[in-house]
Amino acid sequence: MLWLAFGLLTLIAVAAVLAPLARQPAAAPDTTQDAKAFYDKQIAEIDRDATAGLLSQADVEGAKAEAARRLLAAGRIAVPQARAASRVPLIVAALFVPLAAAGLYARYGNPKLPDEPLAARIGEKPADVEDAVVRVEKHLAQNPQDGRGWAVLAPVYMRLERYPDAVRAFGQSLRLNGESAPRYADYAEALIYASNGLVTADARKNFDRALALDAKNAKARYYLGLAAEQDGDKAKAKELWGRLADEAPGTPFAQNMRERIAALDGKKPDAAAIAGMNATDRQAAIRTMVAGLDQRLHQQGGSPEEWTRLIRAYSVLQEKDKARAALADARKALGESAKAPLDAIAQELGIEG
Amino acid sequence: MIVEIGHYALVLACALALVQAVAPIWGATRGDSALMAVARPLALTQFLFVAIAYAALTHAHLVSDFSVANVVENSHSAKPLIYKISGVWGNHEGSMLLWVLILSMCGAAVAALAARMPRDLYANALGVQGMIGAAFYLFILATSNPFARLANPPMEGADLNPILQDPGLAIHPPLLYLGYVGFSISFSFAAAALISGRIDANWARIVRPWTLAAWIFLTLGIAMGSYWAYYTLGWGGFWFWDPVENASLMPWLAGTALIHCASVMEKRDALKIWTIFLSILAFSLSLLGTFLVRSGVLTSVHAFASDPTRGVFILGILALAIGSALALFAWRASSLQGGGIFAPISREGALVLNNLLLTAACATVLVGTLYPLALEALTGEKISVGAPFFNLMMAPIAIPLFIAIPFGQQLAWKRGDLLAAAQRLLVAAIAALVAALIFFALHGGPAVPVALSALAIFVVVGAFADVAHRIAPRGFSSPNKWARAKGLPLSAWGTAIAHAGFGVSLLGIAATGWGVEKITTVKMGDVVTLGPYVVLVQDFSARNGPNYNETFARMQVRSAGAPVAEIEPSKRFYPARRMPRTEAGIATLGLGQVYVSLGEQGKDGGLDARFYWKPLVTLIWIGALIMAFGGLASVADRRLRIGVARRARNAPQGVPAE
Repeated sequence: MLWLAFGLLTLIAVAAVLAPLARQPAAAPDTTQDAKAFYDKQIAEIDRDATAGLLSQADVEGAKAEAARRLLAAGRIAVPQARAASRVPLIVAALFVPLAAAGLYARYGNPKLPDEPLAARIGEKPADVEDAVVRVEKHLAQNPQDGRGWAVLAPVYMRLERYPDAVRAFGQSLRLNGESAPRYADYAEALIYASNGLVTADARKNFDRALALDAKNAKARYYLGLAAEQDGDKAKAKELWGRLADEAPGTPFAQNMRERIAALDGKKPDAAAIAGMNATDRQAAIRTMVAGLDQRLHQQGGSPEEWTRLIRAYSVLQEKDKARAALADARKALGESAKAPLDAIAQELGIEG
Repeated sequence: MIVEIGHYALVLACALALVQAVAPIWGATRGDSALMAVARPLALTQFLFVAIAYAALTHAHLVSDFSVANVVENSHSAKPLIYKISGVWGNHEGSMLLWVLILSMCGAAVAALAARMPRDLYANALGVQGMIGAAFYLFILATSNPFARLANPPMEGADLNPILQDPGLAIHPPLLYLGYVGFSISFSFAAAALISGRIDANWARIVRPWTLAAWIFLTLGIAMGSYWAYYTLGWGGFWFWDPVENASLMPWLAGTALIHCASVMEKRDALKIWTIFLSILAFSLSLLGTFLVRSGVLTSVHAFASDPTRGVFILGILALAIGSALALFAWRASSLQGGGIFAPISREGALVLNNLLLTAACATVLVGTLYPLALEALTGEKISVGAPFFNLMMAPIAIPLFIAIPFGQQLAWKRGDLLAAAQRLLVAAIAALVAALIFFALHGGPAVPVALSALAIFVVVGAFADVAHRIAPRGFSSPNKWARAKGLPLSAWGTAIAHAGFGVSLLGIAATGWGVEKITTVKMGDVVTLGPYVVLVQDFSARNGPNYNETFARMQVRSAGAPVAEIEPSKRFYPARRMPRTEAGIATLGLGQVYVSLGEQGKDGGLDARFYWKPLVTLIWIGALIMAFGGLASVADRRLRIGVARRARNAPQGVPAE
């Protein structure tokens, strides 16, 4: 079907090139003829104006003399000798058109990719997260008062890192489903993510509301600790987190809180920790991180920056093959849109995808 | 499949353009009729293919086909239908496709009308069109392909820049492009005339409607863009001397000079070199505008593409087009014989002055636009050349131009009589004086707006002096004035109307001097006095739109205690792109406007806001509409024209034919 359409279009193009050959060879161009016809029209126009009373007799003569002067001038300019129509150049052109089109299309086209209109895709494909999100969004566009829908959608937005959307969804859920400590805390958490980790005044206000409803709410207390840390109030952060750790002894959460407190006391965070290791351990730690990134990008996809980071990491680790493979995968995953950054890194690192 | 058919159609159009760039010109130099004739089917088919490509891309936007990268980057499945359609050209790739669509449409129109033209002329012109087309098709395919695909399409797109989600965007770019690309036709015809070495009144007659149409669209496009900036950018200004605006103003100035010159050439066989030069200049400046906007040299709302490879490609096209056209010009210009001889004081002489002033204005804008860019590229120093520079430099060019316009209209072809012209403008001068007194009485100064508005009235009244004289010549009582008025060529009316429109715009600009501006912090219940009006701030509130939330203020405009209008200026925030946008509250009262734009909200609940009363401000854009209308009247006039040189004063009833 597609190739049939291509064939038809090509046929039209070739026919356009060959069209002049089908007709009887018209008379050779004669510029004197053109000029004479133009002169005749001018004289007729002047006569019409004179009849309408717009021109005086003297002006009529002046205008006619002017037109005649121009006709004479036109006759003085040489025009190339007319020749018979030649067939060969047009036949060559008719061959050139499909070849050029095929060449260009082979370079830029994607004949194997079908159209993917959104309406057809929803429902046909096995449901993945984004598909489900789009369906819920469509439902909520119709029924914006469905509080349950917003409550379902909001955490998914968080997972997809669509934080501003998450803020909106948690906000709607809070409004429609009523106040509760967890809802306030979730909403405030989304606000923090949406402002790149900064605990804003707005977020604090909402955590305070959560604690007013439930003084034990762990999420609110944790983030208020973070707020204290961002304010430089280490003592308050330590106190809040310390109490959280004490309430759930032995859990990974408590362990995490202890580490945060230790970090407050100046213990080294991750990157510094890796720098402090011996060479072998460091290599191993870096490899683990890179492998994690690799796995995540292949499973969930990522931005061009993340892919370039991965490619660069393999290159630094002297793993040319893996770098090359990552570049190829990145091209496949990101398509044409990320051609420029990928070309740039391929060139910089001297690897070809 | 539809997407790929569109892509293939674009590729085929490119192949046809390559043939069209070579065969017809070769045919014209050899006198080969078949090679010349092929230009017509090629141009027509090319338009068909580009239309298919454009329709395919529009379809992809309409059905949210996210396997097309262009749709992903610029659309969103929930976007309203109108912005799905206008979003096709609201981005770099799509707008380039619109550009070639209009280009091929112009080519097809030339081909359709070619039967009336000398064969070598249309063959050469379409050949040059083919070269321009081929360059842009290759540019699109190689650097900005709107049909680039994604193997793993996402489920949602990134949405269109909120500033561009506005009805203004739906109209502004197509109008502007019709103007820019329209000038490519006069460029092609100029190049064709240079190639064949023949240029005459018939040439001017053929080119005239194209140039005028391009000028009309450009005028409307610029006015539209200016009004759009006025109401969305929230600064209350209508022109910012922004490089992108300048990029559209330069071809307009050159095009304005061109339409005047082409008419001289048609009627008097004079100013040939000027006409050819301005044809080349108008389109070269259109290309320069494209380069500035597309290359990423500038950063602004318009510069949605900042990719160096694109910039280099367009710079290449620019250098090739301008370079080869100017080389042709240098080679052939001396052989273009001027026909009509004229005295310095004559209609022709006046139009030479017009050319000089307009090209000087054009050069000023060019320097003001490019100098900061060049300086930054060479030394890294950033300077900004803004309104003070342009106002200072343009005033000495614009004011003589405005004064000269009515005089030029009064002068006869070949040799004119300045004194007689001045006498006929007596009425206009008196009108201007009266207007100055009235404006002074109303506003009590200052001197500059009073003087400028008097000048504007002089231009408006003077624009019709010529028509009035022709309907009722002095010393010659005509019993049937109505019949004479009807008998006057449309182009005479067009000239008068367009010039009057220019004066009307000037009046609107002059009146900015009487505007009232207040930047203040307001609270609910505050009252702001603005010239003859009082604005009462009723309340502040917030609400959610479909894809934004906004803070808005309800305000009431009162005059003499009675409410005359309600306005709701607002500040919107678009979370998807995390971008704010101001919506000015505008109340049009008479010809003036009350304009309120909101700023930040302070801690104490007060809101920063700018309040303006702008008397007669709408005249700025109404004037542009009138200008375009005058152009339209002129296009509608399809008569042949010969300008008759009037013998001085001996023929009182002698009304020059147009």
